[in-house]
Amino acid sequence: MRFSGEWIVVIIMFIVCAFFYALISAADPRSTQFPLLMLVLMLSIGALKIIAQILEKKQLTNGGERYPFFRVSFIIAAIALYIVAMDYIGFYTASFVFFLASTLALQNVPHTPRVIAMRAGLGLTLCASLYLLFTVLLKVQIPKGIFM
Amino acid sequence: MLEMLEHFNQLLSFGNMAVLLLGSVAGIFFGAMPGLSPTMAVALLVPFTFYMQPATGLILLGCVYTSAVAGGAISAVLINIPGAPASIATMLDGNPMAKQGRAQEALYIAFFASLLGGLAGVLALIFLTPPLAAFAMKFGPSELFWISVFGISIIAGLSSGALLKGLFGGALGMMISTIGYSPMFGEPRFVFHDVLLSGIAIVPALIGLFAVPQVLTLVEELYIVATKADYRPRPGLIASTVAMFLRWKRTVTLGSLLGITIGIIPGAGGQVAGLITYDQVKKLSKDPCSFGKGNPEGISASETANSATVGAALIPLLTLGIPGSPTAAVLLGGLLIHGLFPGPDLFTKYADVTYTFIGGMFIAQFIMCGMGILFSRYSQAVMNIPNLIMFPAVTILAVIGTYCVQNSMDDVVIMFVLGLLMYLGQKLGFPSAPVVLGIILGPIAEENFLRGMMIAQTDVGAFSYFFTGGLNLLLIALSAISLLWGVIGDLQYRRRMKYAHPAGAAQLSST
Repeated sequence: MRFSGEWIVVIIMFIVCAFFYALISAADPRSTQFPLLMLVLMLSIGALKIIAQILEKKQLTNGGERYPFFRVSFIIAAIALYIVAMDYIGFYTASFVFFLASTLALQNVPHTPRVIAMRAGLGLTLCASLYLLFTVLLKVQIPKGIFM
Repeated sequence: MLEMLEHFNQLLSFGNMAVLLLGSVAGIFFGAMPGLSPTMAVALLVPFTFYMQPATGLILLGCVYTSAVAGGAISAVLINIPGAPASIATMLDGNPMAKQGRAQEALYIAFFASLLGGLAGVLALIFLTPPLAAFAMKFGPSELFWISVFGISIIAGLSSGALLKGLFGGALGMMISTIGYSPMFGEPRFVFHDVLLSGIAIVPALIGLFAVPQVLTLVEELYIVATKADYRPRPGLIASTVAMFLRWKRTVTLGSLLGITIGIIPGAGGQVAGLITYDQVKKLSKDPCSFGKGNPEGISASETANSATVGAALIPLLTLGIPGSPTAAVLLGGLLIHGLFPGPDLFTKYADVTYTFIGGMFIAQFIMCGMGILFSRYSQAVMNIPNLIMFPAVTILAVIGTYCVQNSMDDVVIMFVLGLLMYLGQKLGFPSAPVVLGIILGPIAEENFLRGMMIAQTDVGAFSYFFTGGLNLLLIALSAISLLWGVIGDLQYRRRMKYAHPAGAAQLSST
């Protein structure tokens, strides 16, 4: 039997179950009746998955296309930074900077002044539309920070 | 019907009309963009409805749902990529028509068919919902518990090739929904960080689980450019399109009936209805060979059926709390954030909201058709928007949409973390719809399970209470059948994949 991605799925299923089990055992038993029922269900499904994996005859790994790891990681980090920065510099400023930085960093054409100006214009239009919708029309409270 | 007419004045308010117009444009836009699904469109808009009257908010969501399903035809016709899963069958004849220089005709047919199918679905919603809601009054805690189980089993069972992962996702969603204080005993559970003290709210979960993975997928496919068809506008097409539909009475009737029937069956969805109707119309046609080569009747079959499922999918949602599709599951979230619970109360206590919403869905069909026909002239421009611009815009909307419901950065963090975990889960083959449905139905299931247990302890015992009685047995049988259906579907999916990709049958081990 070859070790495939599906066995990783099985392992993850049981890690999730173990995680919740550890937390259930620390909680009040009366309030964990339903979570316990769900845990039993999840463990049963995990067990069925093991049986299905054993019965599975062919398990080849798929080569597939090259995964753009750095591009996706960069954006995950950028979104995390955007969320953190929003509280300090304000929603509209952070959104504009996020829009401009992420589109410029990931584009595959040269960074000419015209392209930068176009992106900045788009970012400003987006932020202005959001300002009209959220602040003017819906009067929603937004993270302000030191700018806005 | 009479109740609906009583609330017609409320429906015709300026706010509702504006929302119908904007919702149609937004829905068509989301539907036309191949990377943005109707489910994500509705999920992103749920927070906006928080600041609206319940009826107006629901009209917005319903209108976006309807228009996004219809708008999926635009990319299916012009670039051979279904904008919504429901438009798969539309592609078969729509794109060949576009290649023949008949893109405008194909889009006009798609929107007229969507109008007729959508109206049929809403009429079914108007006439079938009240009796079903009256029937739901017979349900006690045990039946409501089994209904939640049934809902999960259906959505999980339709996770093509990933039945066990779908079921695991559903159970995990229910587990996640228990984070925070126990509704009965007030004790905290799974609170390993202060952020989790108030539990996981519906909006951060909806947006995180649907939008964040889709944003990251847009980033993955950043530089993919689809080949676009040439769109040449021609005058006088509306009259000829209407004339065509007068000849296609059988196709429209069949599409509407199949769409309604399949839409009512929770989980079956627009793509199933579209494909089945397309197949039936092709079989009944005198010239079946012309299908797949640009036969406009094929588009009308698919679009009538998939739009008929929209109204029909709301029937089990409004009466029993079982969403007919993942998008309907998100709409359920929209109901819940306004404190509206599916069931008989919606038609008695909150009749003004419900009937205004249903009336709004009726009018939405006409606005969707009109806007769709107008919009189809500019659809090329919309589809030229690159993923590079779309992903930061969607991210910003997701963040502010999550924040503004409770003015809480904690919710934004929860949304992002859940989204990242779901993205990893999707890479391993876990579908997001069952997890979302688990989070939505979890509190209903838990409350009714605990209430049932309390009744059982003082009465007949847990086994007798939950496993006997006609309705309980019916719901258990339906859950079992839906799982069996899922197993059969899984096996068929594997067989299809094996024939389609003999060398890569590997991936089929995603049970």
